[in-house]
Amino acid sequence: MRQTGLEINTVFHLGSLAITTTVITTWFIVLILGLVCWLITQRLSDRPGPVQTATEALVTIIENAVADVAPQQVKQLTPFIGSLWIFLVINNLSGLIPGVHSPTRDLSATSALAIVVFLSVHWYGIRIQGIRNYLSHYLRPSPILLPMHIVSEITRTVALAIRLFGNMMSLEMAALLILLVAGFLAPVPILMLHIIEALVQAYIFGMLALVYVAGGIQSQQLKQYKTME
Amino acid sequence: MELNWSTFILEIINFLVLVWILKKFLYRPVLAALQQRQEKIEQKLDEAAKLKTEGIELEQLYQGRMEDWKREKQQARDELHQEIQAQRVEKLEQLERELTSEREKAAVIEQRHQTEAQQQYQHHAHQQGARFAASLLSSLAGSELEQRLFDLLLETFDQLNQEQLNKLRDNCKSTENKITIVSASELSDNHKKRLKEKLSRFCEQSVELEYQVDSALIAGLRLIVGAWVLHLNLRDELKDFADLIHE
Repeated sequence: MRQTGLEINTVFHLGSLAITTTVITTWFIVLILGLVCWLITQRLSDRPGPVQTATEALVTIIENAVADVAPQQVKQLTPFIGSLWIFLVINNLSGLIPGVHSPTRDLSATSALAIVVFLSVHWYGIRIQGIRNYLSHYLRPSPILLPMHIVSEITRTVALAIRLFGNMMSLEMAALLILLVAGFLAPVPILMLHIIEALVQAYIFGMLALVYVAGGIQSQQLKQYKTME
Repeated sequence: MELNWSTFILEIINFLVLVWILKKFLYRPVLAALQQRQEKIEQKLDEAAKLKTEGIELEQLYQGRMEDWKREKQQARDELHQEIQAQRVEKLEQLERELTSEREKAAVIEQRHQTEAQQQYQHHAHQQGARFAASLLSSLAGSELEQRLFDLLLETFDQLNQEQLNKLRDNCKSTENKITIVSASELSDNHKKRLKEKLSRFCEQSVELEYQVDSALIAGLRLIVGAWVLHLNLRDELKDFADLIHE
């Protein structure tokens, strides 16, 4: 099979697990993010410096974005949604480093994140509303629509994975093709587009995840609100 | 584009680990720091609001006190003004009284000075008049006047009342009947004889007469019996006249 430069290579095997470049890149990202966060939060003070101010601004922006969609579940959802945004931004932008490909260019990684989102929707819904109340919303407004609800859950999760994977994959492929056809400096505009696309796709993925989770929680709350009326 | 299950599972684990790490090392500390700062800010805002409230209360209190002080100051100023006005009126009245008193004193002193000057002028005029009369009488004095005055003296003895006679006799006794006769000119023997007879009769004893001449008397005699003096001469008469006018 001919090498295109877009394949995901296996670096080594850990027992039956194949460790690919995607996993290794993700480990580095997790390690660096953990280290940076640990270093920043060791020196928090009442008079913040530029780094602490930027960190606080980032956390506040994430918290406010979550509060706009699900104001009553800010504390529960902020760590999950925030981590998703930060992780996806770093993952998407890591493709700009020479010799490193974006982990989100791997369908396995985006599928894993989509499955996490899928499970989180049910986890938060059941945790906050209770399993009976949560599952009952699939039978509304009519039990006939249950198959449609199930199809909707599956398709939106698949769409979540495929959208992110397709966009990042196509970006890197376009950059590679232009590099092959036009030469050394020609892909620079495409790389600029890569940055914007990386931020936009991270935002879309995280915001959709937030909307799905909040929808699972608030559908039951909406029913309770109507019952009270 | 194929799904690697190892990568799929490891990515799920990686993400969950990342969520745990970020929750522990990013969200909790940062949110706690923000919460702590927010609490401090709220605490400071509460303190500031409390201080502001206290400041407003103190401002109102001090404004009230200032109003009271202004009122008291105005009241004290009015009282002081009234007191000063009363004192001024009193001082003016006192000054007016003192001025009136001083004017009266000055008028009295002026009146006295005028009276004294008038009396001095009168006395001076009397003395001048007496000197003029004495000078005139000196030039007019003569034996006839001497004789006439001598006769008047003897008649005077006849006109003495009982009390005067008693005094004369008592003085004669106290001077052992020595009587001094002062005349303006030397008396004749006849005059001395008549005088001795007269005095002896009135003193009811024989008297011893001592004669002296004093031209200052101008004309006439002065009779001295101890403390009792009887004069009938121009000088003493003029002097008595001047003293009488002066009085």
